[in-house]
Amino acid sequence: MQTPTTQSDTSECAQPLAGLFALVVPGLGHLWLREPRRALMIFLGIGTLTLGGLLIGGIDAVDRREDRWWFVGQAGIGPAAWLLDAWDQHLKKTDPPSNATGEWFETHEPARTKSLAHSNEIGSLWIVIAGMLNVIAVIDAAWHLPPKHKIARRSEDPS
Amino acid sequence: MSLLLLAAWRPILDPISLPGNAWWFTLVPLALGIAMSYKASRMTECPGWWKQYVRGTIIMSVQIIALLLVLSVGLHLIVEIFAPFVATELNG
Repeated sequence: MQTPTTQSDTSECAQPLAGLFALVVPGLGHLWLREPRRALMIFLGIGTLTLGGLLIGGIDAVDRREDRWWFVGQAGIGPAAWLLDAWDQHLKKTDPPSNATGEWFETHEPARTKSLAHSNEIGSLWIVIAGMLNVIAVIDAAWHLPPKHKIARRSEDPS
Repeated sequence: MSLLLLAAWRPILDPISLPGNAWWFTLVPLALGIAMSYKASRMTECPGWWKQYVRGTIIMSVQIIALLLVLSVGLHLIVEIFAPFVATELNG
């Protein structure tokens, strides 16, 4: 068994790269720290919540303009939140006008459906929870033991 | 949800349409997702990690659901029994 050679190998310290990776893709920070099992389960857990929120609330569950404070929590999942919002803003262009009648719907098909009530609330909530859980993962990755491969390398070559 | 509605549903583009009493069941996958992510963030890797992780995730999921059930019963008692009682007493 490889044993660490210095005090810094056994104590947690700042890992800014790991924190940055974790912010970009949930679980990537822990993968960089050579903890693939934790990385996989973080990715699956946060991914499940995000996908579940999108299935329940639709793409309208992520809307930076209409639901700003919900989006602040959702942004915790990383750039994916911004990409989903950009997609939603793009699809909004095909929404029916406020005075649309049945005739409008005979000749037009909206690219998405606006979500309301339970669908929107629960869908948004799932993605906000995913964002906050990723913040926990980012904090854990950013203050962590050094990556295992660095500890092993120092053990092999004490100089 | 009728089959017709299900056939017309476009995943992600359209919100899902569930009957009124079916929304409560979304709590189960929500609790599971929270437990999966939280336990993975907090449990450091060690021998036997998978077994401990699975057990910890299941326990945490059950705890979340049980706590929310207790909270809902408590709030129901407050709203349906305690608050009307206090209102009656105050009004004499």
